[in-house]
Amino acid sequence: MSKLAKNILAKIKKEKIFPRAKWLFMLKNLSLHLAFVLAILLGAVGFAVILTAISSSDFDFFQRKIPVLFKLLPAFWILFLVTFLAFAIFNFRKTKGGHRVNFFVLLLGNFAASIFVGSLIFASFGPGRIGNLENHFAKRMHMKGLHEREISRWQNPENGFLAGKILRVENERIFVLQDFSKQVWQVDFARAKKMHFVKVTPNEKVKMRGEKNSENSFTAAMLAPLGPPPNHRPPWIEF
Amino acid sequence: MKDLQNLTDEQLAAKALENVDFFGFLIERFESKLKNFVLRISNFSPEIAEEILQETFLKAWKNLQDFDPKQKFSTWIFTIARRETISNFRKFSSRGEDKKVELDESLFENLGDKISLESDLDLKLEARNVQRVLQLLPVKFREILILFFLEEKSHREISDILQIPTGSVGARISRAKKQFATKWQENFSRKK
Repeated sequence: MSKLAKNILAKIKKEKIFPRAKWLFMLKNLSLHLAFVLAILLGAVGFAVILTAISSSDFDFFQRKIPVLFKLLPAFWILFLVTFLAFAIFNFRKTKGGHRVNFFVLLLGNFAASIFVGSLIFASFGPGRIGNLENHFAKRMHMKGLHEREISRWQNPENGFLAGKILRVENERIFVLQDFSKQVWQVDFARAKKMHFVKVTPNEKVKMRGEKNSENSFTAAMLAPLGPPPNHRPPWIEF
Repeated sequence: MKDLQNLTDEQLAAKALENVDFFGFLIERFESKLKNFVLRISNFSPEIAEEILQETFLKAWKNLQDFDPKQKFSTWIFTIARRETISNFRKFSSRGEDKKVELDESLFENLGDKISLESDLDLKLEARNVQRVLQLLPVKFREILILFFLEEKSHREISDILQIPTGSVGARISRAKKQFATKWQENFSRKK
């Protein structure tokens, strides 16, 4: 036996060095796989929230849709998705044989998985529930949630955007609305295009595009419910 | 003893888990191959290479249960040796102990043939020059040329040793060959 082999064996025996237990390696590999799956799931949650933001982004109210899309996309959730995508790739690379997969294949694969699972989450829970959860999370994180962003977008009567709660319906043409700054408006909705199954009934929260006539009078051209109702279906299966 | 020679590396590794002495035979099998590999990619002195080798085998012993028998043992031990060498780069280069250029004749015989260098010059001189040019290359190119041309590892094995995607191995070899040819031209063509 060579000198090096003898030295190493002597050291192993003298210092009683034993191979680490197999379960330790299995546990490490398992935790890497679990972290990978978790990262995909969290990325998918991020994607579901992005879908929710898109679904309640009121495209129908705008003519120039692409600039609106960029304005409405929630930066936090995009960053959330990207972070967990990176984390998933990092974990996958650390698993046995993970290094063999091409980076772009891995990136596309992970992205596709997040999109697929995120769409499933979106379709199963619906934007209503996801929006509520997001709102809850945003409050805890002291940041503006989707709902709050939507409200501030629509609290702009000077530029033709108004939202609030219907206090009462006067007749087939007029209802009285209280906006989010507690101001009361008389809204003429006779010629408004009713969208997304909006109900003109007391206590209903609505948003509208139109024109401010005077300090407390507004003519609606388009009328829709504010925020996605709980049973709101995703846009691609909505008739 | 004869039986031991018939055992594959993977079988010896399995037996080593039952009896540490079998690990000694594995060390013997890989000692010189790994020492050459460490010397070629690092250009450390033989003493430092031996230190790295000792550390490599000890790590291999501690992690022997992590060895996947579906993989080649040689690939696994080369991966550990390479990792150990790389992690020692900073440590030893700061002590200035990585500057010795060792003559490695097999280097020229293998590498020279495969990249179509003229072979009518004195082999010893050329081997030294090849070694010098290799040392001028970034580690990532140097190690891949050594693994492919000298250690004659497959793309899959190189992918495992270097921890890079299998599909990137060919492209990196090709880039390394180009860099080698450029450095060779710059350093030796004018002198001929």
